[in-house]
Amino acid sequence: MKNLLLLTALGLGISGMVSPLQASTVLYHNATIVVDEVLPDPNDLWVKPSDLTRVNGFVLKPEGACLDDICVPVLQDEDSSLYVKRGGKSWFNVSELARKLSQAYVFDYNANVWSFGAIPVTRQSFTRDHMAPDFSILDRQGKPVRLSEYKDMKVLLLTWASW
Amino acid sequence: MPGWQAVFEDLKDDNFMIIAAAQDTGGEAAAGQFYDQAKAKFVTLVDEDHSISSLYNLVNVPSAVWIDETGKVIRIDENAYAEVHKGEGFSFGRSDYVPMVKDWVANGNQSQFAKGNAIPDLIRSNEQHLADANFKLGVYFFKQGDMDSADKYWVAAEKLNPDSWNYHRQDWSFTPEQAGANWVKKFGELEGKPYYRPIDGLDI
Repeated sequence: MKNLLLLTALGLGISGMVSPLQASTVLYHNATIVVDEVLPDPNDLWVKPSDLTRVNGFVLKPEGACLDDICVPVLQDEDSSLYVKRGGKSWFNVSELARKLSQAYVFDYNANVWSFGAIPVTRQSFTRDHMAPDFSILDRQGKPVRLSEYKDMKVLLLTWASW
Repeated sequence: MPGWQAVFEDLKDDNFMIIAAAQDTGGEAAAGQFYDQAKAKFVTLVDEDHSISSLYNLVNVPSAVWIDETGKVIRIDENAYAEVHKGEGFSFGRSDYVPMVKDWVANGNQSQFAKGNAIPDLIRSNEQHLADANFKLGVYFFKQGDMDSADKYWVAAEKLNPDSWNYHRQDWSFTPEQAGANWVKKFGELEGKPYYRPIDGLDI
């Protein structure tokens, strides 16, 4: 009973002060990224700013969350739908960013896995100018292969399957 | 695959590369042997998430994208068989695609198959993007050995993007005893619509 009380007190203490740690898995492009620490939320994926860059390449700068020439403004001196401070730590809402960018996603709450589709605005050079989008896929020896390595050559990109 | 290795052998000194990406959730175990048997010397990838099909809007296999020296897409989403495959009482594939590739490699943008070719609308709808996210989540559960969850998200992907034969055919491959009947049923639902996007510049 003494232990149970102690645990209860500890649990209350944690939820009242600092949020409990919880890991999530993010699927984006063909990468699987494990995020060790997220802010628990039944509807949204909150990660530390450093993990934001790991999961989708966006960097939190004073002007906002930026990827190449795309910047989504983010207030950082007060709480917003994209950014909060809790327990002295900053958290960024990846799923809210996805909604602002019309990026499709689906998540499995039980397994804590979030799967994101492509960001439509990053596809403009493909859809409008017909420039081939780059990719990075591990070859059979485990070495990353990028389309951009074959610039200055003609490339036949061929998909097939065993099934 | 041996057909494409022969093409590569012919064209490899002409500043030309084949990048082959198996759309195979089963990974190296499913796809690797075909590269080995063909002694493929070009770039060989196993794309478990079908990420190339998502990125380039490809809906079936085999499909190809022609990309020129500037990185521009010249042709896309076409039925790219290297040869006709003959079985007992049936055949599939085509012999008219490789000559197109060779003409392009020889003549570049002056090739009749590069000039004036119409690129289809490349914009992917929200439903198609959401289908990709669901399919990838299914692949994640498949790799965890959780087939029930995998199936749940694959069925969602198939509903969101019913035109993707890749998603259907990959899913069916894990229940081989029903795969044939599933294919025949869906093929029948095409009602005259093409199984592959027609090839621009060829009569058929």
